Amino acid sequence: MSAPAPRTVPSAGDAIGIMAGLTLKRVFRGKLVWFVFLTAGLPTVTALAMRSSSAHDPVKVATSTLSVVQLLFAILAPMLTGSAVGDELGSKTTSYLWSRPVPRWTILVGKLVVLAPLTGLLLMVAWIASLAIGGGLMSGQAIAAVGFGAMIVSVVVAAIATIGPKHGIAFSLLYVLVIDLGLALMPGSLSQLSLVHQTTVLAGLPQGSAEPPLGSALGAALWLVGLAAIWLVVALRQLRTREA
Amino acid sequence: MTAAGEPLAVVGGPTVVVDTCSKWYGAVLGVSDISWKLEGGVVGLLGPNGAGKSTLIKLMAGLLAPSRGTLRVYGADPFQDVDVRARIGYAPEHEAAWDELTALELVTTMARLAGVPANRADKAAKDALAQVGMTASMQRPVRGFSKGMRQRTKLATTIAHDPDFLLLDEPLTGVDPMARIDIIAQIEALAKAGKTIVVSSHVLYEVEALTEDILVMYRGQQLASGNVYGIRQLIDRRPHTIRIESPDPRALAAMMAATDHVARLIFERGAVIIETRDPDRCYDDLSAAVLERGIPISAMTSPDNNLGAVFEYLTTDARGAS
Repeated sequence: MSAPAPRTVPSAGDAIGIMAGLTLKRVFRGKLVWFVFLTAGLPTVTALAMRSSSAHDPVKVATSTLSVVQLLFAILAPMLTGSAVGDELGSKTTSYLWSRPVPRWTILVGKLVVLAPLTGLLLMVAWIASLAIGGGLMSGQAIAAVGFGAMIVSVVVAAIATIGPKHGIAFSLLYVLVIDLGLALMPGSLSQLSLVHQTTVLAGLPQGSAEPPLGSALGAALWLVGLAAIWLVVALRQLRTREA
Repeated sequence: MTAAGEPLAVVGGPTVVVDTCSKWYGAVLGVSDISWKLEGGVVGLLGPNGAGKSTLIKLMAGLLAPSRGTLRVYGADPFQDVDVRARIGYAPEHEAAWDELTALELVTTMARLAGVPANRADKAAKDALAQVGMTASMQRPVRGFSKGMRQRTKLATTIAHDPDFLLLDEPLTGVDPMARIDIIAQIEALAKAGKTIVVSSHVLYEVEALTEDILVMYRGQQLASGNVYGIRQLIDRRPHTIRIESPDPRALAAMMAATDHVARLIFERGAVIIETRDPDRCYDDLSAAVLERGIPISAMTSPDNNLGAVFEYLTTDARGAS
């Protein structure tokens, strides 16, 4: 019997890169991408409807379309990230990945480095288009907040899909649409736990009577990062012990 | 864990050591109290569906952790030790794959994740696909592949990184005759190249075509291990069923009834089913019926390939003997 050849293992960076490439190919070759692009047109439709109304208010256009964009957080992030993470874990393809000499966290992170920025970019472009068409107030901070918020929602959704992979989309939809939006409507400190609320605060847009929302942008950013970190830690712990 | 990119130390010793290993899925038993050592070569994991073959293979691949006992591959725990998996090639039983990818992309990606550097992965993948006869289809998406093509591609993902230890879970299930011949030839070639291979199957003759060494499992337990012919003798103690189609089944039955190895004869329209205690003698007698007595036989099948029934018989037999 010949002596076995020396073995190498991929670095974490390599593994993340390979998974990112695989994820990108799958997203753009799948059918889901068409649904995602079509759905991303919703803020523009809203902006067009507002433009045709008699009392045009750029701030109102911005806040209204932001609400639609935030609703899209709840739909697009689960569709893109929830399905990519949950379907993988729920289906049997995980056995290919987990039998390879790479840490499991690199597989999750490899997906996230593509899907989170993609979701963020998509929603930023969708909002910018709607503001341009509807004549809304364009604010660099608000646009960045949408991108950042969408990325954070993607991370949370990926974590939820890791915990409950067989119903990854359903659980993440439920969380963002019901729990998170519900928390956003709660008074006082409970609303701090809402991703949508913190994104609104981070956007810094005047609300209703031109009063800016309570809380600082920095505080909101820290809340978002903290919430994502907690979910990510839970997901990674789950991933470490999960069996295929 | 070894620093990424550095060659791993390759140490000697047995490929697999399983010590009183059990695995439960909640209340459901996967494998129970398995103790087994695999030094090398090709070993067939034989047992009916639900025997625990896939569970044992997944334990060796590092996809499952033992509930009790230990399992070591090259001296390491494959569930915890990421590095040892670089030496393992695992082909799952299922056909699920990333259907959006071409066969070449799929095998290249898997090779890179197994540690093949980017500048060599494409060639390694092409070589692996060529070995399994998939060169002509390697640019096609996996989505449109037949079962045989999927099995071939799966085998390519398993061998592209040149592992020392291959785990092939039911690699011949559902494949067409040509793919079957090719896959068996490929496994034989890998064995000749010095690889340690575990092949699971629920069909005895499939395992027999690949190796003489087998581990027989039944209901999560290790029923027997050793040479396939010894197991075959055990299995042959159970009456073997042969269905013979003939225009004159009664003449055939009259001849076979005169022998001492026939346990039962059942008539069907244009056929007779013979239960024999000695299959080899029975086949000889059937040949004699055709050649010496001129009794025509149009088809001959052995429907008794249900290992579950055979193993049920063996365990009942063992209980009765004890």
